[in-house]
Amino acid sequence: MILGSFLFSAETILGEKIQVEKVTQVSEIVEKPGDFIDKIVRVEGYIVDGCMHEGAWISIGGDKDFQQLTIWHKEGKIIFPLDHKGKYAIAEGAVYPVQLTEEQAINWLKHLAAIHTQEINLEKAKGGMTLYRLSPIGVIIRDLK
Amino acid sequence: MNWRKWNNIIHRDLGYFLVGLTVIYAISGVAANHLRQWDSNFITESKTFPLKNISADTPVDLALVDNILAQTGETGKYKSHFRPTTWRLQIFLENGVVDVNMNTGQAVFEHKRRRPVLREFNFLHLNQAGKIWTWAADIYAVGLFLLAVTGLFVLKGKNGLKGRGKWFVIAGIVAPVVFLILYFY
Repeated sequence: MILGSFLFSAETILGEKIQVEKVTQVSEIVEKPGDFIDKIVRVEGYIVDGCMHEGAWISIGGDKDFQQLTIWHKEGKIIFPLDHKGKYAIAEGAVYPVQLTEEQAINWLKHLAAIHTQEINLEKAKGGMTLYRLSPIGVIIRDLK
Repeated sequence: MNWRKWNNIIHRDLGYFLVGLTVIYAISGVAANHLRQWDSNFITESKTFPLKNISADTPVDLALVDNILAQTGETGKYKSHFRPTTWRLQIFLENGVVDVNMNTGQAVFEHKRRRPVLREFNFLHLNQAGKIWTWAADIYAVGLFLLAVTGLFVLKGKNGLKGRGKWFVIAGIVAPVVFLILYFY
């Protein structure tokens, strides 16, 4: 068992093999998410945040400050290792929107401010919010870029 | 050989065979049940450092990163850094993460290491490997089912299913039904 956990720690491959070679920058998706809905893209970056209980999602830091992209399988079929923070992720998948009502948006922003790394600005929740995430087909997580 | 003898042989031998996995699933089950209160997978070690001459207005560049690492004394190899917010800086080292709050001038170095044994137990119980283990876990589930059913018929008479046994069986079914009525429906 212990040997298995050592073997498992070098590189983690989740889902299908990654096929796309061209890397799309996180900033391109964050700044113009509508251009990428349902398009298969490859993104890369250091994991700056994530679900610490079930491993349901991770966020990778972008090429520009203050921008992150959340990688979250729509049907929960890809679960991330819980010691993901600070590791490097390569993910291929499709961008999808998540519509939140104003109440859902407020709760989401409060959750992020309390537990994770994002500033709270409840103005963003007015009228509801649309979050853009990547539903992964395949992910590689490793210690180094 | 009559059916009860076969029943008891199956129950006995299946019981022996499954005891190892049942211990793993039982211990991991309690741990997973309390995952939000206690991290059974990892031991998190963290240290807090007050930083000098750092504020939200300090320009963020590699010189600042070197300064912070020098102040904290963390010597792990630098990988990258990232600013999730205007007042927060994360520095990723090979052995952990330094999380800096530039408003308060505090840095927290966090290092996670796997909790021996429990991490492996959870890995199996929660089927994090997938693939062949999915089949093994399914076979285990079928084995548990057979263990439960054969257990009903091990004894005869006043200690068997027709005697006191039926009350325990009923109680064991009523308990989850009551919880479902209270919390689910």
